[in-house]
Amino acid sequence: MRLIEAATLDAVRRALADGAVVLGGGTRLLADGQSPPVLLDLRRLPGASDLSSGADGSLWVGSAVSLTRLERAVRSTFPAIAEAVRLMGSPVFRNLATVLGRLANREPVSDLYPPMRLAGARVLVIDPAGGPAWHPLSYQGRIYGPHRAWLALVIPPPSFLLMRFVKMARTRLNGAIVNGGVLIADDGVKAVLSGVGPEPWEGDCAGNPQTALANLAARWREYLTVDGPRIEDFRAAPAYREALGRVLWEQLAAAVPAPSKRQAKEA
Amino acid sequence: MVRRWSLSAEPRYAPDWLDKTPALVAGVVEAETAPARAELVNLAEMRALPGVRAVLTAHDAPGWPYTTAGQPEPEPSPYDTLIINPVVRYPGEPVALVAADDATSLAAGLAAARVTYQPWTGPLHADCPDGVVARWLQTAGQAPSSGWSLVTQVDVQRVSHIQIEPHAALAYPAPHGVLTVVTTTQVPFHVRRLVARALGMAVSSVRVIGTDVGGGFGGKQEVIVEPWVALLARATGQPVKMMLTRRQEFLLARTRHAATLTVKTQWNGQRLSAIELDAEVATGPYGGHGLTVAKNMALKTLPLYRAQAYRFSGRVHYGPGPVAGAFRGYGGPQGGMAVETHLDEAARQRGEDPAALRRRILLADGDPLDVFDGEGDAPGRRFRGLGLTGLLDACLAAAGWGRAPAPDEGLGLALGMQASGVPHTEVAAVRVALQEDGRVRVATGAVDMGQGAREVLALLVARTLGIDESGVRVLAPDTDHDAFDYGSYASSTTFVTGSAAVAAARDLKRQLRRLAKRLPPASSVSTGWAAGRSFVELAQASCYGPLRGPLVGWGVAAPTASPAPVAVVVARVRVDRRTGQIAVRHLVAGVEVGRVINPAGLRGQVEGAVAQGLGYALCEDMPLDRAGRVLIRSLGDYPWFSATEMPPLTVLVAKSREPAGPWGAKSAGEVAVAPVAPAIANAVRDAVGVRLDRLPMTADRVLAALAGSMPPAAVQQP
Ligand SMILES: Cc1cc2nc3c(=O)[nH]c(=O)nc-3n(C[C@H](O)[C@H](O)[C@H](O)COP(=O)(O)OP(=O)(O)OC[C@H]3O[C@@H](n4cnc5c(N)ncnc54)[C@H](O)[C@@H]3O)c2cc1C
Repeated sequence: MRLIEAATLDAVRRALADGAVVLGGGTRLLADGQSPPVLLDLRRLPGASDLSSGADGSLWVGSAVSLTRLERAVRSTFPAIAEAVRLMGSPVFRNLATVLGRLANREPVSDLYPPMRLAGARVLVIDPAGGPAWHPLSYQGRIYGPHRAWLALVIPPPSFLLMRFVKMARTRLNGAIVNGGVLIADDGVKAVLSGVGPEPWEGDCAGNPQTALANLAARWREYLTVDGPRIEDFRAAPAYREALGRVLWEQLAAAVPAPSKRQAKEA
Repeated sequence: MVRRWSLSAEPRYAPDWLDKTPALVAGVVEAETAPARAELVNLAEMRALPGVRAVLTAHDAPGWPYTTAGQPEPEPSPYDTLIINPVVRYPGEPVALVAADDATSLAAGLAAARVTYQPWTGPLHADCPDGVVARWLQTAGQAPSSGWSLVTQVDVQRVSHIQIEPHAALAYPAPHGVLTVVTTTQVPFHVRRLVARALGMAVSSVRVIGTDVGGGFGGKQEVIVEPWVALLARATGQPVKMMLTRRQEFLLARTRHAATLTVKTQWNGQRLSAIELDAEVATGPYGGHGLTVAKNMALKTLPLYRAQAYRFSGRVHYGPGPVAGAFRGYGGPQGGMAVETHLDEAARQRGEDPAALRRRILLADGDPLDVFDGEGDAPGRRFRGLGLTGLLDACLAAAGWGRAPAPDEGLGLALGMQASGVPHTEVAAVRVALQEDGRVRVATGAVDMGQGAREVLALLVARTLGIDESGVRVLAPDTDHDAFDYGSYASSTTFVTGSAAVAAARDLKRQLRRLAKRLPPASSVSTGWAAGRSFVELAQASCYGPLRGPLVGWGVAAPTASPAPVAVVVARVRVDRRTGQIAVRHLVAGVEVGRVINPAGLRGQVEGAVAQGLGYALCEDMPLDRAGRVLIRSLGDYPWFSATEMPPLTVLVAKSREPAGPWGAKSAGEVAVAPVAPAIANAVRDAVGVRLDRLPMTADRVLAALAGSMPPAAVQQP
């Protein structure tokens, strides 16, 4: 195994062109003696270890920032992101695994994707041909795949009334079966739920929170009845994922406080 | 006693030994598919690769069949494996063993291997055409032919030991034709004998040095890596080391036996007239501990209850998947799940309180510990558990038994029993050597695998000699110390090796007493066995001066008795009817283990057993794909129970004393595992009315049961 410790963007591009695999915290990549022939370590790049707030209140998360560090930084500003991190694996795992390593490693159910997507995170991605360029974090797109390195993630300043994250797993040390988040803003509601189909389900609805929530819940129920592709693995049967999918939404909805009388009147 | 840790440059665990010892690095060419006749087709090419020092296939390996199960002779296990089998019977099984200069050359060598597979369609083992490796029927007493009866069935899964320290070993040729194996094992003397058998060597030509063991749980009562490195060391004439990766732990190491168990009881009014257990046990592709584990499914459950007649039948089947083996509880958890859920169901169907029903039929002082054994009258083969009913009452009270539970909450009770060493067969020898400064060194073949063997043996020796335990050092096992012992399994260390340690300490004390008498009168008042001499004075006199003659105490224990510790578990659970998730709100675990030697150690053993029981009950499983390959590839995949999920646990300890045990002790390492799963299943039945008859009781199964399964799976017979 060869380790490239790139200190410049040019070095990163060259390494990616040569097929180097990006190393995050290594918790998955290096598990059980796996050893890709060439590894690319991004920690020597400027800003890689930074976790800092910009003048506009946005938060920069460098590629080497661990889940633990993120959790501490966002406890008060993004409690739902902090909660998602706290529910992941063990303390040792969270000390090692990186925020970008979790997100760049696209899996159908990832515990950081829903809250980060709802928060409107953007990622800085470089590939052998170009970049680095900013992209919105999304499940689709050219930000994933080999020959890509994520250099940083930026979370814009919080501009929501409420954000929630819930997760259901077999045990704490075993990844989620289903998870999801909702974000309620002045002008509408967004939701990201995963674990039923091979891709997260995403929806948004404008208008007052209660009505918008009800609308989204109806769309989610519809999605559950569609005979689309389903996740099938040893963690849980598709039917059980769907059953949990129903509960997921109920729990998210229940977490949203009922409107006060005044709000109801205004609505 | 609190364990004192110290930083040390000395290697402790096997990976430390491997790290510090320059040696060739060994690996396995894993079978892609099985069963099949596997052939490595580019042997010459592989052997010529830079850094590759040896590639051994079935053609190069000795043809001495052996078993990997570490048990004394005559071994009950079939000799059904070779170091490298020409027919591979499970995916992952070694097609070839490779030794190389370093990890990189090894990885390149393994990656270069090209193997052809000819599918194997016959029976897995030619001498076992029906695939049934063992079958038996045991009966005792006469059952009346009528009465209320009930039949229930449970399915229990295979699970992994998850020792934090993986299997690892190092072997090197030593002078005088000796081959030394350094390994993390529970059974150094069995390793010595089995390595010698597999390689066709004399037993005394193999020396085994045991490292500290970073978790055993029965998984290291198996001889897996040792013959591989031994063979490679012999072939290359160089030191060879190997450590399994976590993925290989799931693939190549052992599991708990999966089984389907059926229980039938027949009742004559309030009395249990007959109880029958039938077990279909899956041993995987090799027989190993199959028969003995299966037998213990009854031995650790049926004697708990008084019946007029007992019947136990079963079969151990060869089949796909990883190889099953010894695992903490050794049949008890499987049998317990079957019998304890059955009795609960019987009580509920008869409209009785499950605790009251048990109290009525529970074994009492003087009842036989092996209901199928005609020789049950021998001392130590009868139950002595003076505090058992008191313990049961205390556990029920601590759990709030009888109080109306909250909605969807329920309480479940289960009991379990274990042995203290394998009945009739154990032996342990211990040597206690007095040092000139008054400290003593204890040589033993028992192993500390985190269960506190060192503390317990040190305490027993210290108490017997009347010295502080800090003056006792228990050595790591080494077959060259000649302290022959079957090793640490079957809850034997405190009872069997402990008895030998006490005997050795007494022997030393006798010698010291003689020495004290021969010394000139002490200046102080000469009272007590040492005639006024301090221990240090005597030690000094044993090495220097006119009466010099170093003193060594020798003790042997070969008990036929194996007194039974008992555990009671009461679980309080809440079931989420929408998600099916079982939340364990409170667990009470009560144990009767004879006199407690090491209170902190006992608590640790109970807590650990409960945690393992909870994993077995709620989440752990090792699913296979269609080809029989384990789907779990890392700890990230394995749904195990973490410390952060432990429910509130109340541990109760009955006051008791075992006359046959060292300082009144029985054993404590395994007994609390078995009752956990049935207690939870019974609590779920109490909470929401469904009977879960399959482990693990995952939320999807609970939900499915809630959706459609009433009435419970039990079938009532006319
Ligand atoms: C014990 C354990 C528990 C876990 N529990 C959870 C859980 O509860 N919830 C959950 O969602 N997940 C869980 N996971 C999965 C884990 O979050 C992911 O595997 C994550 O990718 C690990 O992050 P890492 O930084 O260690 O990545 P690595 O192991 O270093 O890399 C993982 C993958 O991401 C790529 N990668 C890493 N960093 C970058 C980058 N900057 N740019 C481009 N590609 C990159 C690597 O090339 C590799 O393909 C668990 C994993 C383990 C081992």
